[in-house]
Amino acid sequence: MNRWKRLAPVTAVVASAAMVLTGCGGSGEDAADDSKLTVWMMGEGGDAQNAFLDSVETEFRQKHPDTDVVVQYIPWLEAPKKFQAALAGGEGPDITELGNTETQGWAAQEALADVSGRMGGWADGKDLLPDLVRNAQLDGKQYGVPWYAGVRAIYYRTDWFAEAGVQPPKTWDDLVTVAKAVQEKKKGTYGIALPGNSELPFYSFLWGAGGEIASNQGGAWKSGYTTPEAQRAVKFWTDLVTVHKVAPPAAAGWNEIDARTQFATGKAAMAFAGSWQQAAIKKDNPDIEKVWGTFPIPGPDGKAAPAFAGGSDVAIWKDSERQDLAWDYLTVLLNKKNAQSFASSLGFFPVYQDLVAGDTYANDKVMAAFATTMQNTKLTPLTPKWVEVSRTKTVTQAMNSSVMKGQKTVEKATADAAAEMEGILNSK
Amino acid sequence: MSVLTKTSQTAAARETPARRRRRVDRLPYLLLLPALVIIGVLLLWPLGQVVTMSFYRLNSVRQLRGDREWPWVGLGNYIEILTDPFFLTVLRNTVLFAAANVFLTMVLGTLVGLLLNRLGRKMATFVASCVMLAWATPALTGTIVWKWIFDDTSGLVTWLFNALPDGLSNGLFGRSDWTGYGWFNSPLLFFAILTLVVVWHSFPFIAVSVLAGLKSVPSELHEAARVDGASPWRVFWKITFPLLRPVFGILIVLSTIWDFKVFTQQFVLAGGTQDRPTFMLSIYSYAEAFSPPPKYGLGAAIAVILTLILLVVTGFYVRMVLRQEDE
Amino acid sequence: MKKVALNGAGLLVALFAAFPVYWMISTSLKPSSEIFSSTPQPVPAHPTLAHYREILTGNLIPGVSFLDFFLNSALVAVATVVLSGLVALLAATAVARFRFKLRTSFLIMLLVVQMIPLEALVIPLFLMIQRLGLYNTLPSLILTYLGFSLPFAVWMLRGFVAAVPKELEEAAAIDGASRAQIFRKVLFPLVAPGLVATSIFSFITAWNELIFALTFINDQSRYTLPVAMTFFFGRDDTNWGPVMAASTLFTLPVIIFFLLVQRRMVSGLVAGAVKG
Repeated sequence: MNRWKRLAPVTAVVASAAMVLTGCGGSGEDAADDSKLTVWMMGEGGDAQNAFLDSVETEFRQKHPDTDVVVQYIPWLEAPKKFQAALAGGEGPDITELGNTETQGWAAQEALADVSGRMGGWADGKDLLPDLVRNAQLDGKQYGVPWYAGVRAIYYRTDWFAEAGVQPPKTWDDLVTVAKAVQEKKKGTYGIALPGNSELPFYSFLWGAGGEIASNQGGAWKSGYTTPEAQRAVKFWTDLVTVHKVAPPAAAGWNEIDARTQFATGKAAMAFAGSWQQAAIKKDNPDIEKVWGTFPIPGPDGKAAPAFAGGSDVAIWKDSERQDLAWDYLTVLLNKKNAQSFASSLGFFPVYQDLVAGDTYANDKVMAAFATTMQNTKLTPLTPKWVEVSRTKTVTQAMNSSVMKGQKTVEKATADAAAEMEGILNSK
Repeated sequence: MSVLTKTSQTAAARETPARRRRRVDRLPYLLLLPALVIIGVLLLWPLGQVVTMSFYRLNSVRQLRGDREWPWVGLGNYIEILTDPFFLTVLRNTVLFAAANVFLTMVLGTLVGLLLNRLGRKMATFVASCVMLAWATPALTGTIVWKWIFDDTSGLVTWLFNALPDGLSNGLFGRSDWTGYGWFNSPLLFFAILTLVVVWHSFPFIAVSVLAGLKSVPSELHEAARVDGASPWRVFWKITFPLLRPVFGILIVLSTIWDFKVFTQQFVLAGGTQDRPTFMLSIYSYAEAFSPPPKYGLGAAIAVILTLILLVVTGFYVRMVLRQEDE
Repeated sequence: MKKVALNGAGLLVALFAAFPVYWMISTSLKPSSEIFSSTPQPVPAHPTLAHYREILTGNLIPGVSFLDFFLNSALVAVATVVLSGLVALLAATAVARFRFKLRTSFLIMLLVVQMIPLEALVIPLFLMIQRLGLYNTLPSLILTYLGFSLPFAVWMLRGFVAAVPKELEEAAAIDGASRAQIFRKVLFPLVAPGLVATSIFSFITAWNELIFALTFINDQSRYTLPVAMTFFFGRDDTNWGPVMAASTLFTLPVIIFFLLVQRRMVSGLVAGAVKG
């Protein structure tokens, strides 16, 4: 007896060495092995997320006391490569977070499990925002479940606006006037930090003008970029740089991080950014909290423009041998209580209708504008090919940048982009 | 060594301690074996796989696992690439960039090598140590730093241009406020900065190699020429260059190979595979293969094209280098 | 007068070469407010180690610290250097000391394999690593980098071997030493410095590589430094202070290695080219 006890640490060492040698990344051979559930999370985590996931694990283990939850962090930029490697090598997670613009693409690569059936029997699932649910579908089947989401709005400097004697704009014309006024008053800054190399803020202008990205007409995709509405939006968006000069030429190459940094470091009066970027802005400039506000992205004529709801989905890995277990974890991770607390800690919104509606955010000077916009979202085209248009070929970004850099006219740029987009979306 | 090469066997027999043995010497093959196995398994075999993949239509990760068929498309991928007008842009970018970088690296490296040879001892050590710093900096971090130097708001270069007198700046460039100027916006400017980064990384190797070559040349030759009143330009082309021709040959081959394949610096400077107008062959291959949705066959075909182009471009030099080997 | 011009040119070269390294270190020591100021200070006005503290004491990602990544990288790099040095020395001896039938073909191959765009090999190598059961292990990286660094290592080392006078070996042979003894007692000590110089290239290859490290390793506790660096470029954030501090720590080992071996760095390459 005693001897066995003494041997215990040895066997533990041997066992863990064996685990190391066989690689403990993913699903083992043994189908009955429920001792471990591997969860992939995007980004570098952080203490708050870690604490949150610990509490989720505790809750999950009330039902599955013998299962260890192992969380692996994947850098955002490199996530596609990790997914491909996992899929090719059969060493994937059991359950993973993924950007909600990528769910369809990975579903088409047969990386994700079809959870349509399970969704039906899940009470909380009925209150999910329908746009976000549809965004995770392919050919009518559900491949991911929305976890948290957020929209873009415009951050502005309340103190500078007061100095210039202007109010948050409600129309496109107002936006230009206000930007010019503040820029005039605060020498050495510019009106708007405009992310010319990002597509999502631009879509608000496209939709605000009544344009569409693309529509499926009898099985063939038709780009909306050649319509007068879309061209009006492109013209307005690029004119901010080239004609009104309320954003610098460098803006043609900025992504949203660049734009946000401009605002945070006091170089721009306004910036397009998401609610989740509050923390990062404060990190660059802790004092900005006293002098910032937000307002929804205006439409041309006084109505706020719709926005794309970006965020994350959670999906079950198709090759996982622990699908039931993974689903149980998912329903704990995504239950209303956990979803609300996690989304708020990130500056995102929970994806449940009843949690977003109402007055929860009405008195929050930053979140209110975002909460309003959350009620008015639109989707990018629902096809797995979209990711190629959006990420790989960056069709929309290239269109806008080329106009801002003076390389193409609006007509030429929109026609080129429409042709390229249709070529990709309709390819076999 | 050259006198020994009548036939390989006698040469080997005469050259080694085992000269009295009659049979073919197996030792050199044994010594080569580990290297051959490693290069064969880790480079040549995968290269063969890449060539194979380039003949198939591979658009799904499941195909790599063998879960799905590999439809044979013959030269389909190659035709698709070569008929795409975008390929011409990529090819032009690659060739012009490589040519400019090989040229600049060689010129700057040679000049610095000559300079180091002429400097006093202390100064030479100091300059050489600084040059080593550039060489030692890994491509990843070196590029990150350059990106930071060219940052459009807080970057050093932006500040320098802002510090120019407004009148001068306006006269030269038509603008005086450089904050927010997009240094990476136009492909030309992007390539200029990428060239700066790549030359900065690679000139030290050339400089130090040229210096080592110079040290191996008897200095009397230079002295004699200088006494004769020849200009430095003439001394270089009449004496130094012919003596160091083999060194320059191999340096040019290596630089060409490296500059055609520049990847890390471009990947970091452009922030991934987003900036298509500045694509060159290696990043193009990578982007086609791995950006979702993956197109492994197409990416493989581009990689094969790149390798073939390099073979053709360097073929001439490689022959020259090998002729020297055989002399 | 001429001397002044030469020294001036020397200083310019030194400035151009060393400045980015200086700027990296300088930025890493500045507080964030100073980094983002639009008038950069040449020297940190209020130097701080805050960014280093942030990287070194905190966990970069939960459960894994910068030091862990550093050790993984060091392990991979050192193993690569040792293995590639050994194998390269054998092969370099063969091509520098013997004339045999396939010698020229081998040399051509050494150049040709360097023309392969390595990023294209990710998939075949991945599948191979997978089949060998090495997926998600550091040896998978050691093996890969060994293959990548070997051709150039052999190419450089053969010059160093050729530069060792043959007479020494012949004398030893006449004294009755065996081939193994000659290799160990005569050749090896004389080539050793060149071996060290050559190893720097293998070291850089292994230390700097990102794409394969990312693809072959699944478990975050086994990520290498370049992979860790990508976490600084998140979806929403690039924070130059910690990035520069991490870059400095990342660059330092290579610089130290370089300064140690710099005198002998390329004489082998030149010897090889000049003497064949």
